Amino acid sequence: MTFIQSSLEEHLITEEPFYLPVGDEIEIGVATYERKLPLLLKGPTGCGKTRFMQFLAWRLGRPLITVSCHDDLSTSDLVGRYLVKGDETIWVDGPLTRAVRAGGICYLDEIVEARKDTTVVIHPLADDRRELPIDKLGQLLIAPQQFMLGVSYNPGYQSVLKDLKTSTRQRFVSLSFSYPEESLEARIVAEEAGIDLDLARRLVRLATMSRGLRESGLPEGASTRLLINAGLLIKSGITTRTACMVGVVESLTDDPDLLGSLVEMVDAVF
Amino acid sequence: MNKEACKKLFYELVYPSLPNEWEVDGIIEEIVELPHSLREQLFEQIPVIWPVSNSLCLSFLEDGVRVIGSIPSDLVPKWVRAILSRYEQQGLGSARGLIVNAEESFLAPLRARNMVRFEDISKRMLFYIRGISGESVDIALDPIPYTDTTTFYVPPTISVMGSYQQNQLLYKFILTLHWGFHFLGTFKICADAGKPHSVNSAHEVGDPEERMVLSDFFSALESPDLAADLFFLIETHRVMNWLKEDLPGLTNEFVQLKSELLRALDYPELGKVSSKLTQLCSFLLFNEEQPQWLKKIKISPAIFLAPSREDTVPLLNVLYEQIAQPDELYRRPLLLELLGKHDFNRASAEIERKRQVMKETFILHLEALKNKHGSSSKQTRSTGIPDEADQAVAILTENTAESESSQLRQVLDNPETELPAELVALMEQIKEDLGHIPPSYFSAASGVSGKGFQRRGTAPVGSEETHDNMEGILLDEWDYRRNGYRKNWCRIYERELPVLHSTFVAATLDKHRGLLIKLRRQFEFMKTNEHFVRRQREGDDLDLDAIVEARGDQRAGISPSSKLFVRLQRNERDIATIFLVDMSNSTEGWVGTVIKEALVLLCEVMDVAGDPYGILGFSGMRRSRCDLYRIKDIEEPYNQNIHQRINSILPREYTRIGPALRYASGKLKSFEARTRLLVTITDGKPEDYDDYKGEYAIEDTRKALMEARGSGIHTFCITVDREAHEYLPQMFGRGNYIFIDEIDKLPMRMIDMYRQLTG
Ligand SMILES: Nc1ncnc2c1ncn2[C@@H]1O[C@H](COP(=O)(O)OP(=O)(O)OP(=O)(O)O)[C@@H](O)[C@H]1O
Ligand SMILES: [Mg+2]
Repeated sequence: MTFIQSSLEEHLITEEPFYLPVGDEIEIGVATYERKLPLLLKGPTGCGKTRFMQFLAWRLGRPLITVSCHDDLSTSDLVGRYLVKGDETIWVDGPLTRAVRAGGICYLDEIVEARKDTTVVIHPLADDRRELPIDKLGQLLIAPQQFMLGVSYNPGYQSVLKDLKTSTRQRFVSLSFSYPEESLEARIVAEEAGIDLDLARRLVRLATMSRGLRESGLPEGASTRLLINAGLLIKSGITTRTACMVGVVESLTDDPDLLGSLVEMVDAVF
Repeated sequence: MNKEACKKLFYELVYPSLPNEWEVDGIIEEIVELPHSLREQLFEQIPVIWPVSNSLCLSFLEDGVRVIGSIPSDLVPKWVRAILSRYEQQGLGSARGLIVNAEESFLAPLRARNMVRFEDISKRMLFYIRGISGESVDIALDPIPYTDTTTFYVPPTISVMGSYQQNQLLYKFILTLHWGFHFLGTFKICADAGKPHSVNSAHEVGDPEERMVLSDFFSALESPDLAADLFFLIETHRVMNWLKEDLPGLTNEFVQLKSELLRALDYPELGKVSSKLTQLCSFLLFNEEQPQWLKKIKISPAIFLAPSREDTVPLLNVLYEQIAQPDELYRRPLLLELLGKHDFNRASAEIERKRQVMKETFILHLEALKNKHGSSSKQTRSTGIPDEADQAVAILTENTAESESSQLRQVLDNPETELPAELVALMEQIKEDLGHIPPSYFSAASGVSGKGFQRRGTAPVGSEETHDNMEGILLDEWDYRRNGYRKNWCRIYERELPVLHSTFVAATLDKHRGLLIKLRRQFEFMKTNEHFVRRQREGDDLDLDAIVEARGDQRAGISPSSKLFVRLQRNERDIATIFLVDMSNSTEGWVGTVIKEALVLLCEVMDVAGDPYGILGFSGMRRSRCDLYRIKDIEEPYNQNIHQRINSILPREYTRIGPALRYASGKLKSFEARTRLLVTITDGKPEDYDDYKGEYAIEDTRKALMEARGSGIHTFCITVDREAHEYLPQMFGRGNYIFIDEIDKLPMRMIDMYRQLTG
């Protein structure tokens, strides 16, 4: 695992990310930050969790360091390790440590994917101690006022083996995300894909329909992200129908009957 | 093959049934004469048809002998499927028709290339309409399309148009149209006969007695059919206006059918009235030229072009006056025949039923809320006495007076109160339907008005059959009305199944041979879901990352870790599961058979995965006898014994799920495993012979599931059902169940689910 230490400035978001609030999540996010509490975002895929975090980081003027969790992620990957360079050894901070030192925001995406023994390192950071022990350096970092910890996960259709430990879950302020209501979502899609509002509205209508198929065997309907993808394809001159097929429908399922019905929906909407 | 061998084979196939020889002999005699391959084709279908109906199977053999030669062998399974579904929908006589006249009723339609049989596109259309509507609606067959707002009826075939595509589009359009009626409130329009030009908006839902229902309004006219059709036409026009906005794709495609459709449905011999109506159709639905006679009508063109719901009845009146001819017999234009009709009685009955469900669920929520907010604190509770009268008292002695319902209202209106998401959604639904939440809903919840709440009858005291020689175990049961447990309420017996000999398991394994190979491979993969674990003290390979790190540590003067190896490790799957299987009598027939098949397949693949699992069947009668049948103990190896027991599963009595869940989770808890999973397979509502019904049963089931989850057991339910979806999320909790309306899919879905849940 090689480590390229990027400078923290790179993580500072200078331009306002486009984010349309769905409810009072921004106020809650800011208050959580001010109260030095950690934040948990949950919701289906592609509904704006990552984007919200970026917006919050910009709003608070803090650098945002994102770590995508996977089951091979070790504590050293988060906290840091010694590397050998020529004849010397140098200590390299992991992303979590860097965020703590710099007073940035550390965002652990899809936290349930990480092994449970890895997630426990955030425990002391996520309660009122707000500290990060670095055993190898013999240091105990106390997080500054500006540090914030954010995590996300998708509680949808999930394996019983991957659940968030209660002791982890109960440290966080939890914001629940879902797809925004139709008109708002249409504005998001229009803005992000650069398409006109009417087209965006139709894409959203299609997504809403697909989300109605949960009990018929489609675990998750089309996400905002897929709609944006389809919109972008249309913008590049792909026909609407094809864009919906490759950008939305085919990405949702392989079941022939569900596919068939989704095609019918596309044909009905456009 | 001689006659005896053939007969023997037959008896083996239908084992353990023993049909009379005289019933069989004649049939066998004819079958023996068939060429070998044809005979095989017939016999292959016996295990498919026999369990559904013995007499159907016998007629299949008897008449099939003559027909089987004319059916291409690859179409035989399809034919049999058609026969079975015909049998299930219309009975033996009709199914026999499909056997005897296979040529006209099965093959010919298949050959007509333009004709669409709904059966062939049913799933696609079902998912389509569910997606469009966002509701768990259903589709069924009826020659003339209509809807009761939950089920959409469409004709079994459509062949008006020249191409298959176009006819399929008609199905889609018809379904959407009827959904549109419901969505745009057609069934809530009411007419006031006294003042024919006014119509109440649906939001003013007063006493149903006082409202003028449309069907009555029509029958008061001289030509009710004409009036109903005018109404249908105007509403169709209204829906199409909405479709233009909402589903322009569909509208465009439909409008393209215009000329061919009008040509195909033109019928010059119709009388004056009918042809006027046809002209009106072309004008309103397809923007054809406005007929001369219509120009004379005094109604603003704006209303004509885009009527609102309030305009429908006035418009109807004007048009009716123009068109009706007292002396002429009215015949429906074919276009309307194709598009369908309104059935106000069924629709309003269904709307009423749904309202009732919403109301009851709402009241349930309020009750829960009330208990939480302590407004029932004064209530005297005498828990612990399992006595029927006790609950009645508990309900009736509750703190009375209107003050409570206003209190409840306050609780709801208070923005501080945290309401469950389901309740919020429900309130939205009610408001959308009725415009507000009627006060009676609140008073019902506060226990003042006896009307709102259905009271369950007490259990009839009869001879309660028990197992004298067994002790049984006593378990509590949840009574939502008193918000407490009925102590030691149910007696549970764990029993052996009486052994039946049959070839069911063998036949199933044979039937699904191909599928099994595939599934086994998947599960094999799951089991050997090996991965490299890093940073081990010993292992097959060096962990370079760890070594680099250790080297770094060493250089830096820290004692380096000795965990420097990677090791290939089998994923430790420490999961124990109990499958709890509904053996109530409602599973009789097809459902039961498929559940059994699913169990066989499940056992086969679970054996490969190597996860410990048990299977318990449940059924019983009354709280005094809740039987649990041991089909497989958690650690018992999978072998012939298990086959025997699966063979012996038969539909028995009632579905009291709660005690079964409690018992199973008790068992599971005592089994050492890191993850415990309890999967319930049932075919519908929990129900017992006594008062274990309705909300009581649903709430007890829900409670039992919550208890299980509370003790760290993951619960999951698979329900095979065709209707009554409202209670499912309430009972199982969202995301904790799947709903299977196509029983054939059960084995695959169940196995998939296990794989997803534990993958
Ligand atoms: N409220 C919103 N305002 C602006 N853009 C949004 C909003 N919600 C969603 N989006 C858009 O949707 C896209 C997907 O959102 P995002 O990547 O944040 O999803 P996510 O919830 O992090 O998904 P995952 O769980 O799959 O990582 C974003 O790129 C953004 O364009
Ligand atoms: Mg994300």
